[in-house]
Amino acid sequence: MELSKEQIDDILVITLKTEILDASNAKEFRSQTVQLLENSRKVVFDMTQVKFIDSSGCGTLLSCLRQLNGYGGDLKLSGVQKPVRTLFELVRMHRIIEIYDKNDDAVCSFQ
Amino acid sequence: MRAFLITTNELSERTPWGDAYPSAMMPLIDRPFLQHVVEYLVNQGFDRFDVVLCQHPEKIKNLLGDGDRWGVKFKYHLVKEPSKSILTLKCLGFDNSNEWVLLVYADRLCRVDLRPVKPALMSCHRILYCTKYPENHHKDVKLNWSGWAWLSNQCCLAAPANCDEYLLFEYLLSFKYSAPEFVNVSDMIRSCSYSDIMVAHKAVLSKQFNGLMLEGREVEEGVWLSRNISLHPTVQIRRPVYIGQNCRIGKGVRLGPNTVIGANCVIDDKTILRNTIILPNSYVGTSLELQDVLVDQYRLINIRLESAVTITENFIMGSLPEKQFPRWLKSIPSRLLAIILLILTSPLFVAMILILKIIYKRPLFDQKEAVRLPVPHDPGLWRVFALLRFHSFKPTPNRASPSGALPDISWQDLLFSFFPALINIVRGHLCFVGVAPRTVSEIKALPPDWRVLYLQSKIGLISEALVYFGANPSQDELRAAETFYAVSASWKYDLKLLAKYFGQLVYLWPKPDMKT
Repeated sequence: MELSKEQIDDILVITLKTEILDASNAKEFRSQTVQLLENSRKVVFDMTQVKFIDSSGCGTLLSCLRQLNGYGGDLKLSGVQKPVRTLFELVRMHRIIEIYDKNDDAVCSFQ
Repeated sequence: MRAFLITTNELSERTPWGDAYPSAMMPLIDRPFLQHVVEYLVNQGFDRFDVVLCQHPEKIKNLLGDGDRWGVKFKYHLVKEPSKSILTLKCLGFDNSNEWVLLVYADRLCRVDLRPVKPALMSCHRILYCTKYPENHHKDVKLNWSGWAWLSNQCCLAAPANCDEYLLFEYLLSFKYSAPEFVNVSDMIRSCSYSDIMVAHKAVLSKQFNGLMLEGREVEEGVWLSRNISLHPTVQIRRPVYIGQNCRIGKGVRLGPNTVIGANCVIDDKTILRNTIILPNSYVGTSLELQDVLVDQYRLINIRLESAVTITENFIMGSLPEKQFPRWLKSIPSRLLAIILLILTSPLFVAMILILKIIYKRPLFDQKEAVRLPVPHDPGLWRVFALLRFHSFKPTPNRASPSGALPDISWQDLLFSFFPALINIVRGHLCFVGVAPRTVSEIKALPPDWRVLYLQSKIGLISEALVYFGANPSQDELRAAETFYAVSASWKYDLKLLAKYFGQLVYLWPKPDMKT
């Protein structure tokens, strides 16, 4: 899976360049992010391109959050598309991970 | 005009078992309080709404939609916890520097004139709507903020990120550029607690707080009847009384004064209701005498004593769920399939019993007390059943999965756990596919949001967690699998999981190995 990263001050913004985050690529995504998250405390996942996510994708996001929480960091999501957002609301992901409309808002919330 | 609605305040009394409910969604007469607030603001000329959501966002979105119904626009903002609501205010995005926004705690409704801010008042940056304590009670009249305020662009942007209502009020009082402007509010109703809801109902019934849209027609002074009501000729009514749609009021019932019966309720024969609010979808049994109480399905809240009890006996009080396909009908295909499988595997079953009983001299079954699903949130209403499985020779692994879950996708576990549990499926306790069975203590140990979704789901032998994450999922994987299944279960999805389970069993599909 292709990921792009951008550093804004001490905040790492990772853009997921995939339309689907499910059992077919969740493991690959996790293995790519595990290294990146080790060196960051404040991370934003830009989910603008993700149109479908399943339980494997949700589980992977939660394990990323847990990894960051483990050393005092935090994870926020931005640009979540409507179908994914609806799912997050139903499974109450928004009560665990903060969700913002735009990257700027997510970055701003860290400051 | 633009309004910023905060719906994140919670009515924790409603569900003391963890599922906090937005207080703005509590019913007032015939619709949620929030809808009254929106309709009031729309009538005052507001056409843009920013709504902050935390608990049950899907319910609020379903209620309000995109605003087309009122010819206005809604934009929704999700927050992780209520204290983050004001952070959203800072990220609103204003069209110009002179734009003002009306901050509204949506569990309050003030009857005030909300015309746009006059240019002369622009320099004060905020206008606070306040009620006052009675002057004879306090020497100095103390301001009591209603939760409504006009705020300037600058005032919003400088607001503290994380604060509760009290801290926000402190900030608004002390905002550096100028002194605040105050407007006195004489009439206000609230839904912040059950006693507030009681007071609000009385205020509307007695027409002290009028002007709200009500569905019922006032057939005579102080008596409102909605459509499709079945009212026995012997019913006695003392006004004011409001009866919602699709209600059935039995023989000899006495209603009022100050009584509201929400939609889809049944009040059984000879019951007397005075100063009582019956919330929608409630059943009230025969020959009861209720006064100064609020009935919320199987919860009885006494306002005078400030106490609440859960009634576990259905014939006294209970919930009347909205019409849906009967659950027992839905379970017929899986029960038939389980019977066929039991018949086909009966020689194997008998052989297993003989081996365990005669050769190893062990007890046949290892019974776990699992909770039947779906159930309400109150543990008093949970029903348990004995989940059957043959005593296994494998040591129980130390894992995150609940104790009732299938241990693994293997032939041995199929033999020891799957086949005996077919009896549970035949009895209708269990389905083939669902969330893993849990004991009462395991359910109580779940985090509240997870628990709420789990309790709404159905239990099954084969779970999404087992199929996608294997025998040893982490807590995060288990949570993701169970919450995802709870909201997306359907017969097609169940067939897909069933196919994957048997595919993995016969090595057509690889078993999950995505441990991180």
